[in-house]
Amino acid sequence: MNLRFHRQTILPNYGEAAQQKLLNSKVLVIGAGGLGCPCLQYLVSSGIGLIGIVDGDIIDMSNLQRQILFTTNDIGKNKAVTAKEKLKDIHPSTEINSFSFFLDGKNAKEIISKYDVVIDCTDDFNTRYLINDVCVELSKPLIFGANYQFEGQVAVFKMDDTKINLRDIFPTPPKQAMRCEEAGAMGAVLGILGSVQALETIKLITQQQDFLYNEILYLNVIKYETVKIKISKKLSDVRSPMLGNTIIDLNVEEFIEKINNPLVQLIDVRNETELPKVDFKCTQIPLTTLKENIHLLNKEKEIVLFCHAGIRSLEAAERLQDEFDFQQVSHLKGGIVKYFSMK
Amino acid sequence: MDNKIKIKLFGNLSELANTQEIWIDFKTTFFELRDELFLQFPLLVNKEFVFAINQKITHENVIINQNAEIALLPPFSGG
Repeated sequence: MNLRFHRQTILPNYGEAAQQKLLNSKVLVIGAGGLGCPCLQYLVSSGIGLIGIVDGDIIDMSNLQRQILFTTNDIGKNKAVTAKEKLKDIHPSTEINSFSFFLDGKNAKEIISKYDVVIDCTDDFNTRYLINDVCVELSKPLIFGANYQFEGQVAVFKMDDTKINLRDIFPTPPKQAMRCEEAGAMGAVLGILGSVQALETIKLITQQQDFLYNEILYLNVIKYETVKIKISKKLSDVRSPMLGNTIIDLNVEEFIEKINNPLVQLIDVRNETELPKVDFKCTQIPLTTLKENIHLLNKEKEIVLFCHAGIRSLEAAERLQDEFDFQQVSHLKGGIVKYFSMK
Repeated sequence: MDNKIKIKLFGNLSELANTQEIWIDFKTTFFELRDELFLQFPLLVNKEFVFAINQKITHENVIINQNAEIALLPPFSGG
């Protein structure tokens, strides 16, 4: 029995086998700030075998009230390198790699591919979506955490067959969310959230039954209210995730389901003379007359567009979203040609 | 409350509305309810959030039961 980990190995459902899983695991923490500092401390203490820390930022005075690995003497130093320095004596057998630069589109895949679990402790949505999209592509479990004043969110995307991820909540990076500089942040609140992220990571690695599996936890620490929200796949996969496009491509099977759904309005954007004629009820609005006929579209319904081959319907879908602010828009990929060939 | 439904607000939305829960006229479908919400609380129009209906994030139109638990979830970004 390893004395160092004795107290956690005697917990129900933990034990030596679970500890061995932690010792063999490789965890990447992106962002060594308010969430990352407490998260890293608990991960190293718990005996994770290899930890990567990515952060290109420099420690400044205003960080110290919440980024608890750092002291006044560290001002001006890189966060990832300094965090490694502070953590290395906690459990000397934990190997720590520091990356003293920001994650970007060029380095993300190479770094993330070397780890089993990724923890998003960053504070901007562009990086969060980059991490998310790479984790989807590489099927790496992702532990998401974020803070707003006295509230927080933690989600676990296991990236198993459904690959439920951040884009199933917010399909594109939100633009209005405030960062700590504007909204304020309390160190102890970030401590709670970073600890929840560490705990969920430990639960995932040791294969516990109960964790935030494809759920997002909303936590309010003023009233101590929590809500766990289930995340399900948002219709079909979003097209070109890295480009942030939200038009949904429907395959023929999905399209057929829409035909008889009373909450769906089907729109044929071909010209009136085009063949083949369809065998179901729909509204015909040729793409060239979209603007004049916009009143024919019912905003309360989900709009499903189709055309001959799927090119015009995609353009119409984009215009409905961008120019006319429709939110529930999808189109038949491959068009009516595909529909008749598969039906 | 007769024919009203409660909507819980999180994050900056509760700050905007100055309360953690609001009541609006009940509607039988999600999209109608959403329109009613924007009509009664125009300050929520163009704000970023998703709807959770009975603890489930919901994007598509669904039938709403009057006992449904509805919450508006904004994105958080701080870290």
